[in-house]
Amino acid sequence: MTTTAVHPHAAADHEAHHELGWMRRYVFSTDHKVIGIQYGVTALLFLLFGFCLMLAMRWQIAYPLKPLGILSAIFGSENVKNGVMVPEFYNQLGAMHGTIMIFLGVVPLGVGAFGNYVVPLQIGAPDMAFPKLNMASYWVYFVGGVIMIVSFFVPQGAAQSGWTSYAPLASIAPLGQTYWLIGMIFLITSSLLGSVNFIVTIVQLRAPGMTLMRMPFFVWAQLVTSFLLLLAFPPLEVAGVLQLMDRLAGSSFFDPGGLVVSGEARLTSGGGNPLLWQHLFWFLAHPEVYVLILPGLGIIAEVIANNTRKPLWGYKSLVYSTIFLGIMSFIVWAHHMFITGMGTTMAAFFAATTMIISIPSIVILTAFLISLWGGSIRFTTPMLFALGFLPMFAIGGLTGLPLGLPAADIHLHDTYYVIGHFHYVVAPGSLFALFAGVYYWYPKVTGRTMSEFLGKLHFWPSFVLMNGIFLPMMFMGLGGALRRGYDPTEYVHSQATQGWNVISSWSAWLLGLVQIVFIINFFLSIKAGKKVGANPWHATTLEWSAPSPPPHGNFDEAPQAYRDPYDYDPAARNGFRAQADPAEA
Amino acid sequence: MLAAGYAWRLPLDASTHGGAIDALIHMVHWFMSLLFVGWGIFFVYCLVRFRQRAGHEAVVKLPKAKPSKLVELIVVIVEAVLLLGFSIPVWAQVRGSGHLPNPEDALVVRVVAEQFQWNIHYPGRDGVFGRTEQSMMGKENPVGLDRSDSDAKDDIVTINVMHVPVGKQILVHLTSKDVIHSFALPLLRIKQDVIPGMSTPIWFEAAKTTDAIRDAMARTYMVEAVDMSMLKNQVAMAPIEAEDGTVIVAERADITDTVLEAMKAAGVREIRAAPRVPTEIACAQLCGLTHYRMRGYLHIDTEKQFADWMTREEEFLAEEEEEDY
Repeated sequence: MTTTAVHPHAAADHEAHHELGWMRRYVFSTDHKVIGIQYGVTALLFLLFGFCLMLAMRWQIAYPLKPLGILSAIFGSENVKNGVMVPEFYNQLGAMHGTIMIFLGVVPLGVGAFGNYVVPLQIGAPDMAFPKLNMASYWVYFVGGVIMIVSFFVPQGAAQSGWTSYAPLASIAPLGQTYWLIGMIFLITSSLLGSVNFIVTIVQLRAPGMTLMRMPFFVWAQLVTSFLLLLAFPPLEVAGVLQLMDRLAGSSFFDPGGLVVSGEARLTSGGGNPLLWQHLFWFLAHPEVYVLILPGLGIIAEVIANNTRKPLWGYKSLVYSTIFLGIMSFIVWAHHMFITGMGTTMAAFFAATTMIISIPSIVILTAFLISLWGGSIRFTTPMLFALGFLPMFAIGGLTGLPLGLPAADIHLHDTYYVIGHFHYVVAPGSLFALFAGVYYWYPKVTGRTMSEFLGKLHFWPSFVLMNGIFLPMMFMGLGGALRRGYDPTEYVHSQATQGWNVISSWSAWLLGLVQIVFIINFFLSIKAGKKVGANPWHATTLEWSAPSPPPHGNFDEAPQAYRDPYDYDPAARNGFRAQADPAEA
Repeated sequence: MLAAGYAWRLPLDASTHGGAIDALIHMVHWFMSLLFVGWGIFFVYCLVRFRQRAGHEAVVKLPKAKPSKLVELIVVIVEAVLLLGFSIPVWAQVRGSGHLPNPEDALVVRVVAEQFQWNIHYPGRDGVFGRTEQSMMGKENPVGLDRSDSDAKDDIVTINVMHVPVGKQILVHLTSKDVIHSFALPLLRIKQDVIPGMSTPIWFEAAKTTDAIRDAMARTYMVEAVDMSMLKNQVAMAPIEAEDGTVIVAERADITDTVLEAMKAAGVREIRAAPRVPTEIACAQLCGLTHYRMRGYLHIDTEKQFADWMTREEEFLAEEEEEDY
């Protein structure tokens, strides 16, 4: 397979770069590393914010209608009456928690931060193919985030129709929903700009010798993710514009007409269909699940190979499974809609595709597990998070099976079982992988390591508490407890599982405390972390051949890939052969 | 047994079709558990056996792993069996349009959802639904029934109260006036989104009466350890008296904050309670501000109870007509 040389103009530009002002270097930078850090810091802040929204919600869920105490003053008199959170504020917290964690937190961290920082380094490129587009992508994302935050302060608050924004509820919702839609249009535009950039960069800017099958698995994961973003997001962007038109311009794309809302006839032309929104939404939102998880799987592959000190088992299976997963993810979306009134034929089709897509997931998980066999496993902090990821991702994946079987879904749909399932995938799943990535590449970004002691103090309680939050949700879901309930004790069938909510909430609040350890470690290590050289983990891939932190243009010399990405071997010096090392090539 | 509030299994099933759904859920969970335990044993074994230590080196070349192919093959086969052998046939039976009951053999009901109530519309003795008009919808006439239509004269409309006879197929036509709701009967393994602009038919057949379900769900609570979150909308299954013989709570009376405090004050140690109407109609789809309180009461009656209820409703209707004159 042929490879493409480093973009000649890009290299020349970097060699001839002149000193830029502070604003151009650190704020409106076109350097992929600075943009990666910008994405990373912004996404971590959004994750913290979205997480805090959930911590507030969990009070109302565990102790319905009990006063919030000192938090009442923070949320304001509109949102808290007589010390108790009001339902409309609870609905805002729910909708915005989902939106922020997914679109402003996990995806920008996995793709915008790690993808931006690591991909060009791993393929031996001096930067992304379109640096200005890259900068635009970040700032459009930033503006989208600001719009989402501002929406909390508009009359009647932020969006409150769930992160899924189903019409017609969203069409008739207060002003915050308009902000949500405009914010989403910015966020989607940002993702589209980014995905085009990643695809061109990976295809065009690979260093000599970096054939497709020599690319680290992380790069493959980012490539497939970019295609998912590029092909799945446009329908949602269109849907967002259509819902905006329904709200502002009197159209009725999602309004069938003849509605009577709060006793008043709603005068619209009608002719639309609420299910159209769901189809357009889930056409994005199911591939989005893989957008959330694939960068994480990429990180896990890097960390496992590095810390087992042996090549990744089944590299080709991993690559082909990931591509297959990406393709299949476009034809499973309606399994989120079994309960809308789907007939047997369509239910059978989407259930079958859902069962089929579980196979590559199992292949990937199995490859990671077998990669442990025969290794010399180092229990570093990144490895602990990677190892913690495996059983959690397994639970997340396995609990998708009953939801994908239409008959079982009748009972489980819209219950806490669904919440538990996808949170196992994205919280102790994706987020653990992203934490592994932070600990793993922190030395590359800063030239210093994070504290191993604090890292372990972060991991172990997080591992226990994540299960404390989400395992109870499985029991509650089996009991039939419905999601999105402001007061879960209103329905008698949910009272039988209400005790689990208390455990879940306390686990969440303690998890919040534990994250303080991470925050301290993250900032303290910038100055106090142990100074390290280019390759503190004795890793193989190209980014570890660049100085830590890499200079503008990334490499002191144009790199070349001489071998497969994971050439770990006890017989070699320090137990590995770097991809960029021509010796023994 | 875990304390109140910590149930971890499927709730009681009171339908004729729910057993098949429960069996599928059990089967798939057994399969998931086996797979997870298998992976877990391998995982822990690897972590212990292949941990980095003095004198231990990684083995670079591993033989082709046949067990992994075997695991993948088993997963494919089991998933195919669960899907084709169980899930799709059950779905076809419960949701397939070809399996809807014959309206002449079933009780046919219209359910019209709105924020935040369930409007139940019975066709009456003639079995024909009267005409409904959007323009006639209002607080007093939630489904917009045109009583001037001859078919509408005997129609019965209730809000949040639905009576059905046990052992008879019920055919429900679901519609919504405003936003998407979801008609959920957790104890009858029924859940169906209610989409505005569409009429969606579903059916079910109850195998137990509400009274029988209430008896089956009754449990004993330790008064000191319980709070109202566990007892909301529940009734006492037996009268409770203080030492001086005063009745604190009568049989089938609601348990309230006051009742609970009175029991604590009187030193009552335990109470046997059950949901007043255990078969609630829940809304499973976020539908707005007080979505969480959108609750109807499904009463599964014996044939006689149902006939008596229907007669009472007809008498109410006749009284209303007289008042109108």
